[in-house]
Amino acid sequence: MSRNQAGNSVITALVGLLVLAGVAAAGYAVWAHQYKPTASNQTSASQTGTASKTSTPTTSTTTASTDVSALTNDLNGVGSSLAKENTDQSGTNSAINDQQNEIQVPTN
Amino acid sequence: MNRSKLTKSLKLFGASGIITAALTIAAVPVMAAATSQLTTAQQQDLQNIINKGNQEITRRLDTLETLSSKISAATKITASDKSYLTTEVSTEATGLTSLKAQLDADTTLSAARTDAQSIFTEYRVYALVVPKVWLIKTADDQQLTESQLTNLAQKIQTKITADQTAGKAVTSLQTELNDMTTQIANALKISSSIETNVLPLQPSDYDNDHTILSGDAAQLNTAHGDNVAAYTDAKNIIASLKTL
Repeated sequence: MSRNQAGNSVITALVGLLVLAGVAAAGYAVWAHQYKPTASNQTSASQTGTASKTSTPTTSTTTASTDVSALTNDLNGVGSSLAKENTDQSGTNSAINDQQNEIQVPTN
Repeated sequence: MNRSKLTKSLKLFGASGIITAALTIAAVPVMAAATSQLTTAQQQDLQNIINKGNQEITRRLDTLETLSSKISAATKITASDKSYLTTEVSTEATGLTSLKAQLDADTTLSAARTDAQSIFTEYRVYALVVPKVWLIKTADDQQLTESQLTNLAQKIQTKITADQTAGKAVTSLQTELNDMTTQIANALKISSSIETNVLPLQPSDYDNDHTILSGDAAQLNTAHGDNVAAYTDAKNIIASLKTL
């Protein structure tokens, strides 16, 4: 192998290495773009986790019934307060009617 | 003023003072003898007025005592309003107790009549104070209900939103919840307004305008109807949520 031929082989090898490095860099960039943990990817992962948890039928049903049960309890509390309002209303009406009694008190 | 005028004024003042003193001294035995100067029938009338007045004062004192308990039991009313009403009722009771002592000591028919009349013209226990406290108590309790309904509406909204996100049909429920919210707002507007307007009223306000409380009870009845409507909305929504 002549001196020139040896030099060409080295150059060819170096070019090959550069091409491989370029291909590798481009590949990494594509991978990084696709799998980089962005905010949307994180939410997606979280939602996937939640979906996994709520996908169990038993858990989902229990939560829904608990919510409605709590609402029913609150509704019962309001019902008691409305009954109290009825009593108040009756007392107020009596008090308004008693206004006339005061004006009619005899003093002779 | 010169010296002679000053001397004349002092003499006049001295003379009038002597006359006043003489009249006062002369009046004491006259007042003491006033009762004895009444005829038997007049004495009976006097005693009847005193007895009737005492009955009315006692009735009012009992009523005021009951009112104090109601004010103490009020839950939603602010501390300052509660203190205001408590002081007002206490002042009325103190005044009536003093009036009773004054009435018992009356020796003339005119004085007894004036004191007996003042039981209702000055204190207005039944004309103003009792209905005032009841109106405020009712408005107070209504606001407690409205607070509960508001909290319930917020929870229902959370549940409806969650069901909507899950793909369930909630349009009609949302419409009913919107009506519930409107009913609560209407009721709260009335009950808070009544409390604000009625709280500062005094017996003199009633003397100036006997219709000062007219319509307030009817308005609170309207507010109660709004609260019932909101409750019915909530009841229907919750029943529907169970079936979703």
